[in-house]
Amino acid sequence: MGKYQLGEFEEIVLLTVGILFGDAYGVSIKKTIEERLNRKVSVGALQSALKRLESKGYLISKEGESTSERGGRPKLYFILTRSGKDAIEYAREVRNQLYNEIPKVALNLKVQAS
Amino acid sequence: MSKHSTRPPNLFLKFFKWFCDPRLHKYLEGDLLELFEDDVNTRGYKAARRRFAWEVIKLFRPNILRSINGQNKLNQLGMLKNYYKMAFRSFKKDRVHAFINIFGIATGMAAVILIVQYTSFEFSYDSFHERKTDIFRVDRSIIREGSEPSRYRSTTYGLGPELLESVAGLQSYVRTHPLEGGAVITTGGGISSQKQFFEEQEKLFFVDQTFFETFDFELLQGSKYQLVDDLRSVVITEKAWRKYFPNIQEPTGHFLKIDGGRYPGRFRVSGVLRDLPQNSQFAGVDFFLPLKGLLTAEQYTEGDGWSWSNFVTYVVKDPNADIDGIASSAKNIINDRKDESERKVETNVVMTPFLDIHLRDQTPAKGITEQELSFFLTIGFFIIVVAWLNYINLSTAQAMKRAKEVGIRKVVGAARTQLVIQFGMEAFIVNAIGLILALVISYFALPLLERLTEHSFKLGEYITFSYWLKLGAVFLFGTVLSGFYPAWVLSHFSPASVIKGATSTKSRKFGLRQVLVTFQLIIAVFLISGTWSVYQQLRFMQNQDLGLQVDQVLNVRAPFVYENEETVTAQMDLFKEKLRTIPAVQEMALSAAIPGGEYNWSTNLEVEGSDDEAQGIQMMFVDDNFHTTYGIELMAGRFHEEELQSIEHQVVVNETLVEKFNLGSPEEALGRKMKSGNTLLPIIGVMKDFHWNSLKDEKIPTLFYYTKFGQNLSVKVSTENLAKTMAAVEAHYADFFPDNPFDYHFMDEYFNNQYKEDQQFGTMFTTFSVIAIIIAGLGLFGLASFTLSLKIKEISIRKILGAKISSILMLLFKDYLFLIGLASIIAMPVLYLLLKDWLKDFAYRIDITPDLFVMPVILLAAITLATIGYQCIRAAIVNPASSLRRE
Repeated sequence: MGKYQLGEFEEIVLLTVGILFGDAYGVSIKKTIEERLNRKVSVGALQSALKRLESKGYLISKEGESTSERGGRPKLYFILTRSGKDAIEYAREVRNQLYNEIPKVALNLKVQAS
Repeated sequence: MSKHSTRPPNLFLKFFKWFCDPRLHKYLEGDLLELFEDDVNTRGYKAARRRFAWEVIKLFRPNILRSINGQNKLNQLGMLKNYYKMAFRSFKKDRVHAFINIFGIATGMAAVILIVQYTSFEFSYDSFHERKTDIFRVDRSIIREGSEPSRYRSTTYGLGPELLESVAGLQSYVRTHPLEGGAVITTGGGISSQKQFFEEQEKLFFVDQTFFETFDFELLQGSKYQLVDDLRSVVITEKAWRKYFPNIQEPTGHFLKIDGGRYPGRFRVSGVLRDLPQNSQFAGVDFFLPLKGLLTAEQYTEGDGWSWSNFVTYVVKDPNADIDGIASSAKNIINDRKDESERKVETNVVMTPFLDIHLRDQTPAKGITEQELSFFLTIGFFIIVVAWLNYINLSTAQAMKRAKEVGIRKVVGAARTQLVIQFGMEAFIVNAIGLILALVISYFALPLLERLTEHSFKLGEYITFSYWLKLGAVFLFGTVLSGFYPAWVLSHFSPASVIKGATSTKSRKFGLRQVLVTFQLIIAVFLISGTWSVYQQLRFMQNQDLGLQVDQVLNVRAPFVYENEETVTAQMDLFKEKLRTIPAVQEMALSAAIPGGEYNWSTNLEVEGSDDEAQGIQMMFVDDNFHTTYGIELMAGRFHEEELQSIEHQVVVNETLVEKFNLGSPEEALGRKMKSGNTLLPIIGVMKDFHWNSLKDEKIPTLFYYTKFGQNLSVKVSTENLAKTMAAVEAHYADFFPDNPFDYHFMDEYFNNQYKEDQQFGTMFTTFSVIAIIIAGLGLFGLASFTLSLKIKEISIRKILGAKISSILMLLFKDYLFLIGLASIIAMPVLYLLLKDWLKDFAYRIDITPDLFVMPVILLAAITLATIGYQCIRAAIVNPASSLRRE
């Protein structure tokens, strides 16, 4: 499985953290994924994905300032690390490579068949 | 909307705080609150609260949960894995002990499972009927002065209808009556291959229509409700279908010709039942005939329904009705209906609950009882306890070997609880392997159980859920208890002393180990003596002089199918003449009853001209050769003789009858007249007492009445060339009675069949005892090997100082003999009481003498010395030099 292990959901989370650069915390990540991908994300699923990514070293987290919103609870922001970026790159490269190797005919057939 | 009411559900907030990893909690709670506020704005308060709760529940997952031990890891899987590995290593290192433990526990658990299987089956009897708790059997209990009340399960056929009419709270009644004497059944015309068989009386039942409404038996074909409308219809079971109509798709509408009993004739099959469940008290009945039809037979149309008391009556009460009230009304009815002569004795009515009939009812005393079942359960429990005690003994004895491991583990930081968990897990693994093996063993041993009990089982069938729970609880409890003690002992070593090498297993004179071994020996003494006594009693019964000879007597069923009685009697005479030409045939008698079977008739008898109250006696109908065929001795007078039947109603009685009616000596009794109803029965002969039935029964006053029309032809034959004799008898039978099947049995087998249940009891008892003793023996073997290894230096030094091998052996055996003695002394009183209780059901029984106990103890001592002997001898002949050199 190569040197970067990334699940499908993990990849999405990682990309989203990248998009939100600097403003990636639980709720914003959740909302972004829900809006852009039109899929439901539970706090639990997201949190454990974030934890997994952090323990793989693709993300680091840092506590934000406390505000009066959110019952005075601080936000936990996530930032991509170097190896997180590499992981995204790698995943993308692998996909592109695979995609490019599909014979044109197969793609055409697929289109017609559907 | 007030600020307060926009709070998320408090319960879930708290719950979240409780389970969430504290390092994550504040951020996640913040996220949740933010989402909640968004939701309140977009979806409304209620939906927001619901979504909040749902999110919290979805957060309950491993990555978010706080770990159990503060900052530690969530589990100790790593350590558990190590314990697991260590357990198997220690099994491998000490294969003998591991084998003894696992084998013992597996066998013990298998025994328990099989016993539970069997007892559950017995307890499940009749429980499938929906109305089971509302059904009662009406029994009579007759109280005579100065004697125990005698219980009869038979009543008159008039009782049922009258009860229903005059007693409130009854819904219906069912009467049953076996087809006495059995019958020959032949398939009617219209079928390519005719089938004909003799069916025993247990298989043919006259029943009321209500039988099928009261009891739940599944109908496969036709109707079971035609017995009332059509007095010539019969309901059969699947089994009878396969037997009589093997190639016919639809047996209903076909005819069966039934010859025998009081209501013979052609019957139309009106319905087919699925074979009755084997846990039904009616199991085995294959033909249901209309009782209403039977009541049209001659002897029943004469009376008013209150003279023939040979019917079994069941009543169904309203669920709310009080059964005691019904019983007392029934009692009044019965007593009102009595003849003048019967008024003197009081009859009580006992309503036997339907569910009690199988296990608790002892009228007549037969079949397995509740006590016997609990006895088996107790033995099963003992077996598994013995196995667990082995585990405790062997594991604690091994403590020394594991001491270093314990010491090292403690040094590197193991807490005592961890060590307890480790050794507890070892016990758990042993028990778990044992349980798996036990299931395998019981699966394969099930056929043995089936053969022994003559029932068929699937593993787990009949066992109720609550029983499974109980069984599981016992196994779990045993595992924990037997695992905990060794774990506690093993984990207490202090590391410093272990590593210094200063630990020694202190051999206290009477430590826990001795107590446990004694306990095992008590169980062993108990089981060996118990088995021994049961067998003594069985042998006693079978070897007792019966007062009649059942050996070498062949019983041939007289023909059932014939045109009229006169021609068949004439045929019978000719047949007998023909048999006499066979050289091996010695004597022959026709009778209605045969030894080991039922009596023909019971009646109340008085002495003519005496005021003494009537007593119940039994009657048998026999011909003039009966006493010579069965070798019954005559004490006075003569037996029936064909030529001398001029005196009307003359009877031959037995010794007991003479005694019971105070007729004086046998000679004085001759000529006295007995009175039954208005019939006078002059006594012409007195027979020496004999055991008509098994020795479980008392001797009963009996009289022989003359008949020429018995259904049983008893032929006394010499055993030489038996096969040839049999073939000749069969050939002649076929010549004379071509329409009848040849049905025969040997009387000794037939008679001993009465002891079948006791033998089954004995066999089961023995089997389980042997298992228990083998397990206990293995335990002793394992323990001895350990204790001897501790003593080996002592033995060596003794030998150097000049001890003989014999004195060393004596020294080693002494301890065990002492424990056996102690166990015996403790076991004896309990055993004595139990034995006395068991024997009281037998009218003729062995005396409880000391040798019943001495033999088993000697046997146990022999078994013990045999198991430990080999090791002791090996230890005793060891070369002192080799054992002392090591140090």
